Amino acid sequence: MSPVDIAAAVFFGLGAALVTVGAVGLVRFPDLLARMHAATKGASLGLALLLVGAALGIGDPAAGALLALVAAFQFLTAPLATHLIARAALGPAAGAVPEPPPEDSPAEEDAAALPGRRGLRWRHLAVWAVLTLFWLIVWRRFSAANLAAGALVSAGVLLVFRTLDPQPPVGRLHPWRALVFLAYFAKELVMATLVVAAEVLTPNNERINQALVRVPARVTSDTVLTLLANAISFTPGTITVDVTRHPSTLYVHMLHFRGEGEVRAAVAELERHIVLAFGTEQDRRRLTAAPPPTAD
Amino acid sequence: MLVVANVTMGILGLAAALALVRLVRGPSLADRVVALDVVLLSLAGGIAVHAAQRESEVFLLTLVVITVVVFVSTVVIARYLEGREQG
Repeated sequence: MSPVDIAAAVFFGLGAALVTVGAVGLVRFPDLLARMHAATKGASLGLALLLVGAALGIGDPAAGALLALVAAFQFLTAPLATHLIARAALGPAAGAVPEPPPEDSPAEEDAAALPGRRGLRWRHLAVWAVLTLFWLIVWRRFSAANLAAGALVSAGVLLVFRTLDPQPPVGRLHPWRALVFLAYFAKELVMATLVVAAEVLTPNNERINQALVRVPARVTSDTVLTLLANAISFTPGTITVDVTRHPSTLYVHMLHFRGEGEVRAAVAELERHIVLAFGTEQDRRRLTAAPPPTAD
Repeated sequence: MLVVANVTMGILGLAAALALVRLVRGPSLADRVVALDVVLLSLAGGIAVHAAQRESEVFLLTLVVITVVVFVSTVVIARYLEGREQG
């Protein structure tokens, strides 16, 4: 076996083990939300590791790009699916009644201007480029003719769905801070999976002490808030159950509740990383102006 | 590689079987949806392993289809559950 094959085998073993951890948690844990902790983290990271192993085993960069696309899609959608199912099963989290936005909110003006907007903006071009890239990756054929075909189809898709204006982009991207965020996220993801795996493997589940915690957030941009809610679902012992805006509030379900201060501090740290990497100027200012929320 | 891939697929089959236990037991529809997602993701993992084992890319696109179907079906059922509670 070549070193690459050995690496692929290691990824296969770890991935299959994690998917199994998720499945065992699904059977053993006492209720829906606890089961979702196991399923979301175990199955998502497990599948990602299996995909890395497959990319190494196949050894074709085009296939690797396709597998990376699948893994990225899984990481973006798994927390959303978890969030929707949890909210549907619980009903709106206790007290999570959406408040109407303030009268003079700029978000409202933005929404009012949405339906009739015709102008082509740079973010349309960005979406167009991303769609074309997806086309190329899924075809796994990088010729000029295929690029032209992809660009044409993507333009058609954008034309058909032109009333769905792309969300305003996250603020300014800081490449270095984005790398720091990714490293921090990877560490948290591994920790989260280990926590769930340890809980799955302990003979009794007496350590489980579930709680739903209301956590105020400082970010105001929808895109950054979504990113934060998604990332929380992959940090140790937490999944986001509901989110409300005006003011931004997250409802976080804890597997091992040890006090509100702990979860608020963890969310504040994650929020700091995300805002520094992707946040709007407004969010950056709020972050430096307001101290992290403390336990009541 | 052949042995490793076969063992991996065996473990994934076990994971899918465990998730099927939860799928049958329920008790709520939400439990079943979460279980079905894990079954399908195990299947996706198995397809990825198979592709590496045979060095064949024929089935890679089914991975895209499975992950998209898992997400969209979960969203649809979640919306259905929410609507049912209000109605």
